[in-house]
Amino acid sequence: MQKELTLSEIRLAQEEIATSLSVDGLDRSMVVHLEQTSFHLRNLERLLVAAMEKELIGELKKESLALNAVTEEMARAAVQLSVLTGVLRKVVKMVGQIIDMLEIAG
Amino acid sequence: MFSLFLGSCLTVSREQGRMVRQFAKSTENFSVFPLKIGSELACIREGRGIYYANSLTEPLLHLAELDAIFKERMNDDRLPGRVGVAFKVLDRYADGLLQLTSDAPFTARSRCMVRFGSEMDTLVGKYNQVSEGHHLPAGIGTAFAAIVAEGTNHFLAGRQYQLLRRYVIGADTLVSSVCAEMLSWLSSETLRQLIQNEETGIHESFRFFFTKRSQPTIECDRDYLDLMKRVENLNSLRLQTMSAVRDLAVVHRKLAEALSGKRTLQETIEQLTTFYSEMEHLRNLFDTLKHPKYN
Repeated sequence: MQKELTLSEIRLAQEEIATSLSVDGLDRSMVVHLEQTSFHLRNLERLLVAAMEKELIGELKKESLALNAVTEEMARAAVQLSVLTGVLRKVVKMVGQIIDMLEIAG
Repeated sequence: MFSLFLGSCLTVSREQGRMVRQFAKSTENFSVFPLKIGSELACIREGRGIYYANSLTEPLLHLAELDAIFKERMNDDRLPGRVGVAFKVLDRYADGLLQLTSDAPFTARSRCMVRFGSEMDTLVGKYNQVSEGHHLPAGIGTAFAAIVAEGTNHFLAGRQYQLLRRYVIGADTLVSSVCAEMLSWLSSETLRQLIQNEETGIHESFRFFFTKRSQPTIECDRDYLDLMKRVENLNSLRLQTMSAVRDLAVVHRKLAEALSGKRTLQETIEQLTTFYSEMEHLRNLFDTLKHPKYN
């Protein structure tokens, strides 16, 4: 359940990044920053998928320490992702407002 | 009169032997099904990953993503060797049945199969160690070894046939437990989530790609549709495999009943025939899983 929640949080955050990247006229450094964040999220997704696959073949049943570590990692990631999603939503909204203002001014 | 009676017993035994052999053949390499589901998931993940990598405009990130895809694929390719023990137990059981019902005479090589029996017991023991729930009955490997140790030339030889009958009947609990384990694997929330994650992942990766690449080609669109179709196909394969596993347990029970004389041969054969067609259909479906061009 934790993993599913985290995976859907990752999807949400990636959606926000994709929306931000689609805004025209973004500064190059902003684009790189967004791409980096997206890449980190992809790595987190890979970590979760690998853990789920291990769980599926029963390897994690014997590796309780590894399981605990992954669970803790996921719990931390879930908190970070909620914060990140909130920040991204604000960024997208702000960029949208600036563009609207520029269009009105233009 | 006596020879007529003996003749009819032998005919039935031969027929039952054929039935057992056909069952073993249809369940042979059953573990390939979950393996193929896993490797198809890995291929889809790689396919969409390439599109995502191509959305990254920063060269170092693009390269890092490709490296991560490569590493992940290497890891995925190692996974099949680590498939659940339950699947291996069923494979070994089917192998054993095939050996025992072979028309070929027992040779020194087949006697080496005694080792096979102890390997089978080791697998069952390993499963029981790992499994948190129910335990598989032990001793099937020993029963197998007893048949081989008889050392006769053909399995139809009286005592050996009796042992084969005992082997199949004794293995029924094992087969039903293994099938229950397979069903729990195939119906697990984790597997469903992994498939669903690829479905949403394809959409996400292509969204990134289309956002950064101004000129998507028809080929990209085709790849998108192809990957989506493959995920959808995986869902239906999972459900059909589940149905085959359920039927496998039922058919084995009926086979054991036929061998113990609780059921007529004719009615068992009819059910077995339906099961064989189902298995053939399933094998054909799995064979259609194509090797992606990304390989």
